[in-house]
Amino acid sequence: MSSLANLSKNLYHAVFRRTSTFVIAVVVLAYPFERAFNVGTERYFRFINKGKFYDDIKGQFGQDAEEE
Amino acid sequence: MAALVGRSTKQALLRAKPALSNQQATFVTLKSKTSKRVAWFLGSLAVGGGTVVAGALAQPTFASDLVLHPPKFPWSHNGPLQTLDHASIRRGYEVYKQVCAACHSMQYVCYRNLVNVIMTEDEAKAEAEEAMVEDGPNDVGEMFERPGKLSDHFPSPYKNEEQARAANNGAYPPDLSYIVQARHGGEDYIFSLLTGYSDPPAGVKLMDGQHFNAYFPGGAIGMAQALYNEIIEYSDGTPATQSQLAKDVCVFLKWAGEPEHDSRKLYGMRALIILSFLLGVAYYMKRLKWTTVKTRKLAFKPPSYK
Ligand code: HEC
Repeated sequence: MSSLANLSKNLYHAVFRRTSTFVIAVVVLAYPFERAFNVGTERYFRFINKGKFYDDIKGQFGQDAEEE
Repeated sequence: MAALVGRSTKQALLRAKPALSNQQATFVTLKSKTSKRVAWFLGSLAVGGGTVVAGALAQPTFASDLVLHPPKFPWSHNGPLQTLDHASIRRGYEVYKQVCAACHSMQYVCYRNLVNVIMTEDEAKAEAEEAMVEDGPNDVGEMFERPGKLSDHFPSPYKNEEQARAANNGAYPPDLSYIVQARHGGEDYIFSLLTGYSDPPAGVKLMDGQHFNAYFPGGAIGMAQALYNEIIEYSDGTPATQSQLAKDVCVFLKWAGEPEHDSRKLYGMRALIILSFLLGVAYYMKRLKWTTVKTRKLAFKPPSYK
């Protein structure tokens, strides 16, 4: 059996098979997934709109530029 | 169509082999032939198209409807994932403050809304303090003036509509907070309006205080041309041509009317990603639950009349 099939088999038996472990996996993985997804999509969004965000132009204008 | 998709994905998604496959008999199916389906498709297309054309022709055209539609401009925020250009919003605020605010209020926008959108908190505070705001009553029951705070709305140039009309030949300069939503064509229209002044064509009579603008419905507008080259100076040094001023003030007004614009597009992208994943999950679940039904064979055992 290939290692990938092995992994998915083990995963199935350890996690997905029982509702109790499955629910725990969902609850625990929700946080890292949310972080990764939100940070990833926002980074992509900022990448395709580079130069248009306030963070990109901060410090370019009269008063606040002098402060730097 | 559904049958086509089903056939091509069935084997890939679920490798459920019918249990009785080697004894499979030929069944008469109720699926229509391809040619028949094509005929149906073309037929409904013709009926649908005819309905649309008939509907369009049933609408009368009035000469008074004849307005000049603004062209579509290539705004940098056009498109499902494009955000507003915040440097442009900031310049647009300068234009509004120095030009339009003389006649137009923006009573639904506060100074605090500018923080981290186009300026720092300190800048916005300084900006607010330039305006004198009526507050009160104080402990002897009188209204008083004080410098503005972050929580104050932009000050209005006139106390009420009557005063505004009296100062503008009877024409009322509308509040600009939501003007981009309030006009057909949105920012395309506002841009065309601000740059679309000309001499009236022969035969068009204007009343006192009216100006000709082909984009304004009716052509006679109570607002004089407000933007000219170099009428103000930008703090970031951008050359202040008329079209630059108009573009920036339009982006500013677009932001004012839709301050959630950027996050809306970000959330829209996230929602579409998650929902398309869930669509795949739902499709897989459907195929899974239906395998038992789809692979079921019915056998008829003739009764024996012995
Ligand atoms: C001299 C005063 C004055 C100034 C300055 C001024 N406006 Fe106006 N504006 C008016 C008046 C008066 C009207 C109403 C016109 C009418 O209804 O005939 C108006 C109407 C408008 C309208 C609505 C047009 C419509 O479709 O009903 C928009 C949009 C507008 N102004 C934008 C601006 C912008 C943007 C600026 C700054 C660049 C500006 N105005 C500067 C007086 C002014």
